Amino acid sequence: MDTFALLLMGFSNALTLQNLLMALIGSILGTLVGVLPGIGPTAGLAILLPVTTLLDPIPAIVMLAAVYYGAMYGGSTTSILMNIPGEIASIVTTIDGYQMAKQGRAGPALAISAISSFVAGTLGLVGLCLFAPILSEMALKLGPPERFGIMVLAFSMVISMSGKSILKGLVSAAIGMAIVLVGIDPYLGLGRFTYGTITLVGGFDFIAIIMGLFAMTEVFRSIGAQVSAIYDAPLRSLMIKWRELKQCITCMLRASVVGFFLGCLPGCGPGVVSFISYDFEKRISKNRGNFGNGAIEGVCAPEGANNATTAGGFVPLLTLGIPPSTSLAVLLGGLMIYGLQPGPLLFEKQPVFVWTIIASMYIGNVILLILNLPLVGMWARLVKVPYHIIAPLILLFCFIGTYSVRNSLFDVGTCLAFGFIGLVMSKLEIPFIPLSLAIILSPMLEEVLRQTISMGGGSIGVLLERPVALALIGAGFLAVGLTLYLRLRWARAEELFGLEQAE
Amino acid sequence: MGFIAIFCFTEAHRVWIGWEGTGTMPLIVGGIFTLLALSLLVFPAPKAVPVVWYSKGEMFRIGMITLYFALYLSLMGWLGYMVNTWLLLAAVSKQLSTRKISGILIWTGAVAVGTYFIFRKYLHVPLPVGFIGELMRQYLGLRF
Repeated sequence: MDTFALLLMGFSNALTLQNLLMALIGSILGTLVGVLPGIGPTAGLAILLPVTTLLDPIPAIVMLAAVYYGAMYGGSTTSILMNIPGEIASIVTTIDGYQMAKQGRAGPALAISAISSFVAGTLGLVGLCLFAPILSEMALKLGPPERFGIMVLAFSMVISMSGKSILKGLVSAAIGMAIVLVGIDPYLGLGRFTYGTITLVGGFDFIAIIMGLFAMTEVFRSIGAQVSAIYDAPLRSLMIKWRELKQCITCMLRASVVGFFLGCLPGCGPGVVSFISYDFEKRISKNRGNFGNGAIEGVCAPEGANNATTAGGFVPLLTLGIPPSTSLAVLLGGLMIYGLQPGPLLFEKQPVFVWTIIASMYIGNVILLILNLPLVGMWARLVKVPYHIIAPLILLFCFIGTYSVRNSLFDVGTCLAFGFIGLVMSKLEIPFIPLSLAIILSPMLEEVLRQTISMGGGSIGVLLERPVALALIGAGFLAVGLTLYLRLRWARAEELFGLEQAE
Repeated sequence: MGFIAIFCFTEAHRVWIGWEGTGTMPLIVGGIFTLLALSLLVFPAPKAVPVVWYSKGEMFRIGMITLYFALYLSLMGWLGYMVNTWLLLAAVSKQLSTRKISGILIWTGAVAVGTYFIFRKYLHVPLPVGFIGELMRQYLGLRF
């Protein structure tokens, strides 16, 4: 049978009442998991895994997959409305999404987030159907040196995410890299920067830092400035305009391609990919200056990319049995509970199972769009809720979000401390994004760097024998050089323009 | 930055077992901080705009919220999640508004109880029950 016939067969199975119901329940629960800070997709899947054992394999995996991509949908809501990233992949959405909410454009931001997620998620699934076997073979050929190249390329984004001052952006990234060094080295079990204290052995929790920097800082700042609501004027629009949607069509397509293909690579989870997609869009956009100040493409790109990544992540999972992210590792556990061994033979031995899951994901995307779009108006009105109600709730979300990850009050204290650090950083105009980016990328960089050195017998010289890795590293340096050149040219043009005006 | 670099180098030296070992990353991060510190010395900020820090009023309001949150954290084990959260939400909300305390106590109480049941009962987050929870368990046999 060809792919299309197999997909049709999948649809005929997925459209049974039980599977539809499971996709609906999974989508709703996933959206809730995404909205609730701290309960990310991994935790959500882990909580629901025992429940699904009561079901048959197909409905159970349909539900778990729906929870996974539902969480990607839901994560943007609190990012846009309250500056609280529901999960790692939504950190980038806060940059322009929250700015849009503060300008009274929460409705269009939420709508483009839902539409972009739907389009990119669906296109990602088309990619999964068409390219799964070819891509899985290619992904398998990428070893640690190539992955190191990808990480260097990803780190080059720090420059373009640095805001006004590159040096401040670099300082922020370096601080992020230093923070993740604290704790046990996951490979050899040796403690770093723990100074004999048990509390520091576990290191600083990523969620606590992010919540502190983004949400706590924003609450402190708003309370200090005595704001009465996130947006205190009549809402400009609750729904996205056709003009804005048209502006985002190519952006959605690009985010789908970037998200899907990077999502196929091990280690490239939605968190990393959303940063890359945002940066890519910022580099090529005509409205580059608007990024960071409420550009609608700044919401569209990361939200689309993280949903395309969820589809891309299923390529190595289903064809090779390699989960590219922790969430999919839990899902892999779910597959194994039912005796299903993902790998090259899964498509041949279990076609009904595989194609039903893929078809259910198409249906799940439609369900999520139907669920989310009508709710945009309701969510958008939240920015009008008085701050004396919103502020305590954000503080509560910060507490639960950070506490629930490791059940540790130390993490909540970390969140509070980073709220203060964020206040100081914002006054000194040091951007938060490079720090967040470094916290996500640095452990991955360390892993692949050490693997590369081990491959080379204690030397990094092995990189010279890998042309793909060298090309990726070269692309990283090229990206840095190009950004620096464009910035210098821009600064010079501004200076000349200023002089002309003065004359 | 120079100090952080020294910390990183010291730690890298302490745990050094070779390039593929635990000390590699602290060494790299130390190197980055050294470069950044040197670049600040070589290229100092040309037209540094003076930083406008927070006003006294702002500092006071931020300080009060921090105090509430710090108290919240330190009393969590004793008071338990429900009572403690109720008090925190009510205190923060009261500080930000001029509304009557009775109304504030009602909605904050509902949020504290609601979130407790969602997170403890359904999402299995072990939120502290505090002495009230313990008393209820001992004398009334109620388990929250």
